[in-house]
Amino acid sequence: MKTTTLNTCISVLVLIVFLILAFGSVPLEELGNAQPDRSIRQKTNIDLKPMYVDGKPYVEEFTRGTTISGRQYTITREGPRDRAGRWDGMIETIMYHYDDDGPKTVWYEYGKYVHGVKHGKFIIRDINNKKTHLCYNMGVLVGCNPYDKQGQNIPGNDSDLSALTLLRDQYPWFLHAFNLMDIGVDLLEPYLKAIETGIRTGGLEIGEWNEEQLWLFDEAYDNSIYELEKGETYDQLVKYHKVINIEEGADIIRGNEFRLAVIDRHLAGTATTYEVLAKKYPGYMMLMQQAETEAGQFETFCGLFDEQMDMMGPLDAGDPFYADSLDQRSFLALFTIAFSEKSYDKICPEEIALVAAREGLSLRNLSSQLRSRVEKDDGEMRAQDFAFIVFFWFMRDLHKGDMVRRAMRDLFFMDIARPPLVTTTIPDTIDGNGLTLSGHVIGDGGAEVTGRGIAWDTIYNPTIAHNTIASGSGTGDFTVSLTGLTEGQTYYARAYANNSAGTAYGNVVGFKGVADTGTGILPIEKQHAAFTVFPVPASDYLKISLELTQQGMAVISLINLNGQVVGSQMVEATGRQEVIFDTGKLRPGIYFVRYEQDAHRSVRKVIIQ
Amino acid sequence: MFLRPAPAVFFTWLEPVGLESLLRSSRTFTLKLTPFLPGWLIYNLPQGLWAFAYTLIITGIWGRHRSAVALFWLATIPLLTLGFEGLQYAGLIRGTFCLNDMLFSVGGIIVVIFLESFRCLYKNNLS
Repeated sequence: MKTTTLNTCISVLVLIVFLILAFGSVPLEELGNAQPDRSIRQKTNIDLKPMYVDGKPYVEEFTRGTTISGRQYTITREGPRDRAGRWDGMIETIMYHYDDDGPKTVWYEYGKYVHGVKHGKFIIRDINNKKTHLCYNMGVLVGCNPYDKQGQNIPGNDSDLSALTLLRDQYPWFLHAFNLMDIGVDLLEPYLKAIETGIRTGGLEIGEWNEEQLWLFDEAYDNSIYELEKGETYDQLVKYHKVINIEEGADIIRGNEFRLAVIDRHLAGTATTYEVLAKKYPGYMMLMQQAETEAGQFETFCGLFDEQMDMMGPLDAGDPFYADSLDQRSFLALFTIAFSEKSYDKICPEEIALVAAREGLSLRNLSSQLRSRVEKDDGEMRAQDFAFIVFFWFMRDLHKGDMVRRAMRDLFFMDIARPPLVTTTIPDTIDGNGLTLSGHVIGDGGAEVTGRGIAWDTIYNPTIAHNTIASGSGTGDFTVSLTGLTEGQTYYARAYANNSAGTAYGNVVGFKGVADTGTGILPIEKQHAAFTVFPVPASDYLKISLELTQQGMAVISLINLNGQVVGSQMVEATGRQEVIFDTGKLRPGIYFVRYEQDAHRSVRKVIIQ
Repeated sequence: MFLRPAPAVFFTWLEPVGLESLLRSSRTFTLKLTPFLPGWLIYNLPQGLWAFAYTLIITGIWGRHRSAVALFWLATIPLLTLGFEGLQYAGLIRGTFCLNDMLFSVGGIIVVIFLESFRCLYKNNLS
């Protein structure tokens, strides 16, 4: 009996140890390339239960893909995404509010996104099932009447403006996000007034629209929010407010140039992140220069970052969740360098705020923390410091998702002339001489628009310091033609407009020279069909899903490493198509799926096991 | 522990005893080896060794007993080693189901059975 008891005790101990070992390992698949759910539906749940660090509530818990009991709201988005994981195509967004009777739809939205921003007419259904429309021009809310393209936020055109009316008129989806948490106008109005009072109490004086004034405004705004969170009246409302920011800010993070450079580097498979940044994203390098960092030290950091990324092995670029997997790895690498003592894995853009809170970082004291990193006694910046700075630029993007901040900024700068509001139209016309690019000056910013045109170059986000084509002045549409571009070269362009407050730029568009049209060029967006391959690795079959954007015959081929075509199928129709290859009898190994339509060709590697 | 790209969850549990930073710094060197090693060695073999070790210890403790308690503990071997994958397959616990993991687990158990058989045969021959 004694022996049995002793053996049982030892066995229980062994069992505990082995269970710890079993639960303690995180499979690679969870981190990277083999996501269990390969659909492109993304569902985001936000739990409103606050979490605590050192006894203080810091941020709302954010979780994905799980059903959480209790009071919560859920935002579900569904639709195609581009290679960088940004919404791109017709997207359906539904906001639910869960109460005792189950889920209740409070906001339904259906419309087109282009590279993560809303573009075109959106169908809206509110909580009362009332159907309305909202129209956007590359993320900017505009009137739906074709003769009423002006932005609605023109300084001085409304005598009854407040942060609430600005929020309602310019960022209505943000207001509805508050409403779905049972925060109505009766609560929101005094909250916004309290923020406004907090900013004014700080003694902020707006003189003109410039970087320094904007920075001061941001600091005053963050201080005001901080004070409200410390108090007892609006502390809970601030927490809800932060949750709404996360959803919006994560979309902005997906356009962060460091992130885009990491994706470009992995898709190209050759250059280093530093080389990609230096060649294609000089705007980001300028940010680093503004932080008074040395290029050589930043290059060393990038090398270390690449090393960390490469250690995690390759990723399948055909995976619909490729960008998500890359995000998880990037943030893991970044946080490993920045906070080497902590373990952060499976972080998505939405969870950046959570990491920041755990590390005791906030945008409120961003400048002082950055300064302490840059201005060291020994003058030497380490990789850890650079990781910190890169992380902060992500944080700043996250906070751009705060539409209350924008509405408040609009209010404070109401009587100040600011740069015009301008957008660039996605190019879609080719003629024998070149490409036509269009811009649209939506608002004059309160001062006369003295110049406008298109800035273009081979780098992302070109400025007027690069190539420009001027096209008149004032608000409204304008068009320019680009000719004589190099075949095969990728170009970027964006509209610009200037007034006495400065120069503003629209969204960036990319396009590429095409070999068979000489000087003609073809927009990247229209170059070929987007296609995904499933499953990866494949065994019995291989399914290729295509989104054909152009009329004409497209050929999908399966090719082995020797270049032999082992399967081929033709598709002739636009829209979504599926092609299935029987791969059960093929020898295991690496194959290529090739898509061809006219002169356009795209190849993707697949593994058959 | 030293070769997988993702840091193990239990690293954080080692923090209070001061071992976490040691393991983490060791991983900085060992992770560099991963590109040169086959995938099964990094991802599946640990599962097999885990099953092998658990089976070896439990059979070592209960192998010569003939009782309901002994049967219970011996039954935990397949339940635990294969049950994990089963629960992952059903989506009830964290992780991704992997057939290779299951095969390596079965392999680990079979190796112990063989070793045990050889040991008995050797003992019988001696007596």
